[in-house]
Amino acid sequence: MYTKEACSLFDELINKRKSAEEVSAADVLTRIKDLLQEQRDLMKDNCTALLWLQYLDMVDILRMFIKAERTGNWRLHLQALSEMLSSLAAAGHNLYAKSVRLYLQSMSSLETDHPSKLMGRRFRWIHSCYISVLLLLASLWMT
Amino acid sequence: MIIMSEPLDSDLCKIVLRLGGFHTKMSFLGCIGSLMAGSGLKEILEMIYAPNAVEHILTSKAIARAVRAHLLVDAAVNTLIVSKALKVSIPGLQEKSDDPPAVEDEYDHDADVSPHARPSEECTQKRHVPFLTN
Repeated sequence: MYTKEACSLFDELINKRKSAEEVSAADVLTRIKDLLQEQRDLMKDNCTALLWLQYLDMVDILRMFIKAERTGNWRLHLQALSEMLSSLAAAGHNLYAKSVRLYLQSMSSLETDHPSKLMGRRFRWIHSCYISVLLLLASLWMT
Repeated sequence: MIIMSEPLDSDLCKIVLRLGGFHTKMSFLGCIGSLMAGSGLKEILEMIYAPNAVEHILTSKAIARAVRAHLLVDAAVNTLIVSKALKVSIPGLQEKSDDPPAVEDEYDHDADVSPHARPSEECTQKRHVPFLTN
């Protein structure tokens, strides 16, 4: 039942009869999402499945972090880092966990300490400077 | 420490130290590798990568490969969950089940699987089934 609706939705998207916003706001998708969440909750009694669900969550955090880095989204970057904390500590990387925690603490007070550094696209600007310096270093290294 | 010990009006106080994205990602991938040790992830990855490369992936020495590998395995596990939730059978997967055969070729509309990821992902699916069902 869901599959047929989703298929027709997909076809409409491909044939450009509907825009991406309309499709992503469709009712079927939220129902499918609920169904998947239900399935995940059902699997939570199972130890092995729980491990793999945890793995899926970790890959989601990884994806979020990569997205934040590439789009220069500062808030998402901090959120991804704070979600990483628990797995860093669980894996026994204590020094990393400590550093990330201290980093988050100092970055959360960035707005008050250095208001000029955090102005929306400022992060992207700092980032692009950083990338150009890296490229310069790499080209020096190659020659 | 150097910045903190400087006087407030010094030029160094304007510098903000950031944690590099690349090394953060590296340590996080290392985390995933060590948390999933012994779960069969190594064996799955050995189907698409050479055993020596898998060692590097799980210890996050090879970043690009590690990201690709984790996204592939993530897509495969997600496909399995979707196929179970929506009762859609996965093409290319021989499964002994009593469920009535559902409509084929439809799973990719629902799963968030990127099209180019599918060939190697299907190899991994066969190894995945016992992990989720037992």
